Amino acid sequence: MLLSMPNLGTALAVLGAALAALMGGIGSAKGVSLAGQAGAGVVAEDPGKFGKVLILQALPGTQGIYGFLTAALLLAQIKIIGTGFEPVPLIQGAMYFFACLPVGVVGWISAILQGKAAVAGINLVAKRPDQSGKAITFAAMVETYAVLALLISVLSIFSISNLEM
Amino acid sequence: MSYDKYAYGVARVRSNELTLLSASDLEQLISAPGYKDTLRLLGDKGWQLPAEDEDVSSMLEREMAAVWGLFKESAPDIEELYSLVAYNDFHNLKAALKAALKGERTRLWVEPCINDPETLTDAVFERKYEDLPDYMREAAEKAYDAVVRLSDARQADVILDIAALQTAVDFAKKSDCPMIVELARFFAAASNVRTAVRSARNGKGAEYITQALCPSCNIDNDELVKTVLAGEEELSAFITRAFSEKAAAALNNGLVAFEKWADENMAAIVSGARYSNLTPEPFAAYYIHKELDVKNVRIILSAKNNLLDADTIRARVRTYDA
Repeated sequence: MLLSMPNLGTALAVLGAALAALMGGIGSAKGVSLAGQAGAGVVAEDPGKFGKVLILQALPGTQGIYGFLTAALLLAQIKIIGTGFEPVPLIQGAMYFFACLPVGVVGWISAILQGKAAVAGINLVAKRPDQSGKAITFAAMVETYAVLALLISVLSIFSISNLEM
Repeated sequence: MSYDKYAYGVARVRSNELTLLSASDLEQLISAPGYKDTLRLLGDKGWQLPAEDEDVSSMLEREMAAVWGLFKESAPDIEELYSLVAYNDFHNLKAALKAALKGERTRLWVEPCINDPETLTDAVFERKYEDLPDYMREAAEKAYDAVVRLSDARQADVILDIAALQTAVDFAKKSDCPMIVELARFFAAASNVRTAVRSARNGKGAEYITQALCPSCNIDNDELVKTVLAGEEELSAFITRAFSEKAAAALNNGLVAFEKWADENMAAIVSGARYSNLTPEPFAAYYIHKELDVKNVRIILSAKNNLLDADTIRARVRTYDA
């Protein structure tokens, strides 16, 4: 009976969008908070390092943006945003749901880990401000996997919408 | 998840690590032409120099008190770091007991400490041991009895020293930080070696030495007592097994050299903290490094006062890699 519900496919797609935004957002909030606490510690001792520390704090925030972008893109594809809404077939909805998982799961985990790398970088800047470029590079490396996950999610969403159902 | 609670404090500690004395700073202090020049260099490095009516000890104590003040402000749970200063509280308790026996209040306290020394002194003067923290109560009563009933001041010192080491180990275990536990257990072990060697030199027997050692350390106390009484070779072999050849060589050169080795080994124990950003380890490492800085400054200033040459000072200062 559940499977015959006309909007189940749409519901699955929306659930996917929600997860992408939620998981990326939660991960980023944790990562940015962690780096922010470390940043506050450094600035408490040396306010002159605010600029360098701020860049490092901002880095784990991107996963939340990726989750938001993916969710917005999917909601636009299935016309929840905008006009011309039509129910999504169940199988297509399920595919959209799975397409959102890479950016959600990888975004969540990588944001926290990037937060930890940013804390290490902030502590490096505290002792050696001239090494801030390297500190940013170390933390930015974690971003690679969030970007790859974003790409695969976005490509999947576009590909699924072009499929003949 | 509790890892995030250290982020703020560790960042503050890392910023303050810049104030530690580097190898080149130490060399500058050692090479300074005189006592006043050494003090001036310390002032340039940010140390708050003693006022005219103060001695250098006040300056050194202030440095350590500032470290503890930083920890109190920034550590998520200061109790995790109590093992680092517990020994000072027992020193203050010892001072309070001695003052109570003399009937004169003194202010020969060591800071930083966990408990307000005035409160300790009040409790001891009024013999209200229930006002003392749990971990001090029994030791304070026993030490007081040892002096008053048995007229054995040495035994009172032994009771308080063991209680101090044991308390530090107990606090360290509560911190759940393996590095802090290792520090406390090593400190107890090094103290045990010093006590055993001194006691043996003073002709004390196995029974006395055994009861003067802290049981919570990372060496076999029975073996230590056996070998310290057996002779230098046996003791040296035991120290090599328990610590290292370097430790044995230091002990062969005397207790002062062994103490220097022990101090440097404490710094080696905390060296891993440089890779840790979300644990209490950097706090412990900073405290140990600052303590070594304070010891080094004391050694250098005292040597300058006594007009010792630079090479003699270099041989005495503790080196570490922060």
